[in-house]
Amino acid sequence: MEFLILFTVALPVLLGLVIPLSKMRDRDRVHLHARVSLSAIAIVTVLNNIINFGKGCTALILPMGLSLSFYVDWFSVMFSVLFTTIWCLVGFYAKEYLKHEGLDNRFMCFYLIALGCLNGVAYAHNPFTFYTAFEAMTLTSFALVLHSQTKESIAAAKQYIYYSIFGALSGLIGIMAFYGSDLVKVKSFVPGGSLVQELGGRMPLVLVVVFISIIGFSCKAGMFPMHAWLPVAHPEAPAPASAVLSGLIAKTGVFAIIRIIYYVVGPQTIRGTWVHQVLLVLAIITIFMGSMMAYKEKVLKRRLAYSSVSQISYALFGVFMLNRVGMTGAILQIIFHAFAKTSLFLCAGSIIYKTHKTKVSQLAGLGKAMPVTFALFTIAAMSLVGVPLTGGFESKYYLALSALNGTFDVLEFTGFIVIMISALLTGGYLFSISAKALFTKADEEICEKCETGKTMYVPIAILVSVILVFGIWPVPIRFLVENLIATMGL
Amino acid sequence: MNSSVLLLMIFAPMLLGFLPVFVKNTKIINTVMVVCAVAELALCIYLLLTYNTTDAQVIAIPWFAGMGIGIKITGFGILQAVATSLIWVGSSVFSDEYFDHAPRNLRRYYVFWSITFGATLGMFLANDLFTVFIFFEIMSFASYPLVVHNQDDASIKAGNSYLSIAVIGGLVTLTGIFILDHFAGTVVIDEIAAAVAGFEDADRLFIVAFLIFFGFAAKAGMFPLNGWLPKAHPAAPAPASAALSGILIKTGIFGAIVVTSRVMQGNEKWAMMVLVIGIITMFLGALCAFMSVNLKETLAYSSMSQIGFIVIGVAMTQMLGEHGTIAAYGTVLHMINHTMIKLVLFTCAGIVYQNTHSLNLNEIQGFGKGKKVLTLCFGTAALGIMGVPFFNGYISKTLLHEAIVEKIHLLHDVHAATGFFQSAEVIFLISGGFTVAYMTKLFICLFVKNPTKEWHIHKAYVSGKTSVVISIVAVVIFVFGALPHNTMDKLAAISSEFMGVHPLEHEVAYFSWVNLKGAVISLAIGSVLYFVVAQFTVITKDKKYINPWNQNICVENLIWKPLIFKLLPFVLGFIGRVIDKFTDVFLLVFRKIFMRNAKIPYTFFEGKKTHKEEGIPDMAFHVTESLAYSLLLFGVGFVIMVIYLFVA
Repeated sequence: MEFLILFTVALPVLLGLVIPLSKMRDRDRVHLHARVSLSAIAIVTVLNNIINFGKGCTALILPMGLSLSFYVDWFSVMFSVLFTTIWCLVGFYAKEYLKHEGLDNRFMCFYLIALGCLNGVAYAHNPFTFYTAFEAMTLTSFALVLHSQTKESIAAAKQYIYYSIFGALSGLIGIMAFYGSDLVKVKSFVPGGSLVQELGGRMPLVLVVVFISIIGFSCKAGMFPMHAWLPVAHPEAPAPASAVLSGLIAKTGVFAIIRIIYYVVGPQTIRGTWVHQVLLVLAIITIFMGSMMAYKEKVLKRRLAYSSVSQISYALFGVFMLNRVGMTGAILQIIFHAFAKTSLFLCAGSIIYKTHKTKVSQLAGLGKAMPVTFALFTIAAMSLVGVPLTGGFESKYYLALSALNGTFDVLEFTGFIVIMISALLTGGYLFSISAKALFTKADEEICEKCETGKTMYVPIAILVSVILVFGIWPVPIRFLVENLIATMGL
Repeated sequence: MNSSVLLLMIFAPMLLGFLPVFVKNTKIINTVMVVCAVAELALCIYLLLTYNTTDAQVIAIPWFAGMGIGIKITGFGILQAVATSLIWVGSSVFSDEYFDHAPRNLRRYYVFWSITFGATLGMFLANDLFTVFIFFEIMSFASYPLVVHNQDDASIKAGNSYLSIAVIGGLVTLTGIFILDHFAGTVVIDEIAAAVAGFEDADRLFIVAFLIFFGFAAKAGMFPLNGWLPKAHPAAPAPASAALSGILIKTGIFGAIVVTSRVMQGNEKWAMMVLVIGIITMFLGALCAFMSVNLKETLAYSSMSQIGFIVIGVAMTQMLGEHGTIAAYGTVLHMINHTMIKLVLFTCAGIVYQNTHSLNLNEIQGFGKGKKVLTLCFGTAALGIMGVPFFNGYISKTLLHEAIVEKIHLLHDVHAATGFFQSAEVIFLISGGFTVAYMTKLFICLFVKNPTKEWHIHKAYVSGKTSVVISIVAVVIFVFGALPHNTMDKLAAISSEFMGVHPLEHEVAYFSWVNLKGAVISLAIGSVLYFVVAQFTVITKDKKYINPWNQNICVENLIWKPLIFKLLPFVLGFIGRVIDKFTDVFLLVFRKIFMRNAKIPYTFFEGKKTHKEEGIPDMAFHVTESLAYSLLLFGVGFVIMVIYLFVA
């Protein structure tokens, strides 16, 4: 049944292409098609994860030893399930939201194709496949960013594509350096990496190459200094697109870095070197900068985007710790940030859809009109801050714990302090929104009942309930993470 | 004891918090809340009576919220749980009638009212600091909607302060707990003392303890983190004020005790710091209460002052070492007494408010004249807090006073300087005097003066059930004060283990002249303050109450707000912005050099569209076309070349 892996990657792309090929225009039909497709993809993905676990499959063999091949390991399982679940829920949400954006057929077409690319990223078994899927994902999500085709969104999308391509090409340097030479023994992802032992004088060069490729992939994750596109592009996209961009697509950057560090060169290669140190510093700077800018930001969606800059670097910080606890924190952060940030962006989308208010200062008293949306917003915000009983608390707990047991004493302790300060700032920029909306009186007349319909708040409620359930009862997530880390050779 | 009962006790109120989501009728919700609180009270009293130190077992849920929680009955914990349930019984009963005048958002209120209840119980029964922290956070967040319930300007402002303090305090404490866990390897309250005993780096431990202490001190309203308290407590509806003032601030004391008696066991420097904080809080609170012209604000400042008394007890327990028993007894008993007293006083304030819709002393004066139940209850509680003999406050204040006197004696014996503790004693007695003065002021205002206006009181001014509840508490206040050996001594003895002291071997002669002296001095100071000083300062010639203090001058407005909301965001924001724009500026310079006609990217100056379109690029265009620009670039290249030649 190995062909099922291919199927999970190809099916979304094909189903997406059906829309333009069959000249589907009617938005009801487009969304019916999209909903059925998303559900089918979800089922296929889950089945594939169960049936093909631990198996691989090669789709295409190219000259020069390159091949498109896919593989199911714990990481693939985690990411593919995360991607498809959230993708489905956001897809259901999109129907109502896209009413005021229009061009549903184009949006849903690229939306489905992007899911296929994401699955490709999740299942990729070698760096070439990974890079191909990664670039395809960038290009399809480009269309999602400029969907509204205003001057702003086109400029933002251009910035997005420049940065992404620069980043991916830098990443490619690393891939080519390793797979075009005899530096690695195995030409696919192997836990612990397959770097040859006798590097000798080539070691400094290897470190430089690793550094460049990590910086390149960190572009997608919005790490300083390659973050500038993120707070511009994410808010410009329509809400469902910004939700998945911030919640999921940005995570592929983290995923790429995990693959490079843990599956290509091995953590022992960079542990204690200048690369390790510089990466930690960059992650810490980004955590602080993102939170601070979000605290200062007045436009709701841009505030959330800056928040993503900071929060994704939490995960990177955990990855760069190069130890078990840090990795646990990073994986939990990837999962729970995905749910929380998606919910927040969808809530912001509901607010914009119903009231056309974009600035935080305009939200006063809106909680009365949209109680459910703001209640969900508040819980998701709590997770992002790391309040106990939400999933975010767990990830931050592990990250803080790992920071106290680091390789470089002072550096990680600074990271620990920055994490705490950043949590404070996160509280400052998110709870102020909730407090303003729920507990102040409106300055002007606001719509009496502009709560969104069930089609909009039920997907958010499902996302938020995941945060709560696994925040209180984290046993299954723990099981997953422990298995994951056991296979990584940490 | 069956462990599931204990868990049910904590989580039942939290789950009950979801009842208002499904039930619309607030009367039914209220009844359920009252029944729940009464059941909890009965259960807590049963556990208190059957408590013995040997069979206390830890009930752990290892998976809960990631870190797991541990629950354990301690004498101190279960005593505070009784106090918590008592507050909830009284205030839930009173909520029913109080909200008749403003039933807005009532279901939301009950949701958080119930959740706060469970969290407070859980916090007192926690076995380790992580559990404490989890319940502490739930409690802080759940009580925020109670503070801002009225949603007017005052309560929103107070709520913002409250939430800031909750978030900042919670995170600082969490930071401390993490580091303590890292250093000591355990955060189980009973094991910390042994774990840090061998720790050599005392300064580091001091910092860790301070971090943990910070959040709890903020919650307790200790100086200099007191700014939120006198705003938040009056802003909340009366039943919630009673809970906030009566028991929620005690959770801060609970944390302070844990830090002082476990993490910093036997550390003189630490005890001294806590003592100084306590003295300042005590005096400042009493002084502000004396000057206030708002009924609930006076009571809130009074709470702050009483927290100071309790904190002094916490510090003295450590300072006295083996002789710390009386200080420990004083601390525990004053916590319990203050809870009962504040329940009665805030309920009385609520009764005044629901009839007059005002809390300003000038507008409500004479309201209570001729109202017997109100007079008796308020009077009893006032006498209790003043520390008049035969009322409960007297016993605990005497114990705290004796602790300071004891320390002076001990220092005398070793011929050490006693000046500091003697002045502490003086401030203690003066603060007691202020307590007498402000309570007298309130009592005379409400019950002796003649009313200045008529109020429309539709039904009876208070419902029967509320008056029964507060009367019972008032009777308890009197009984505890009159028969201290049979009641309060026993309660204190139960908590002695948690406080880290041996039970008292012989009874304290509370009503001997030596002990009465302190109360008499305070009463005398209080009379002078009210009948002489007050007439020149806080009461004008035409018998109006004024507050001579400018309300804007306080630590919060002078230091905290400018620091936290202006200075730090500005400085850090500047740094953040520089980092954020680093890449953009780099690219811009790059483009201006190699692609001179390129426009500045649209997204560069966020939100300011005017820059991006024509203005600046035009200017830049002229610049880049000029001869000077070419010369500049030539110069730059030349310099680089020269440097290269020299270096190479």
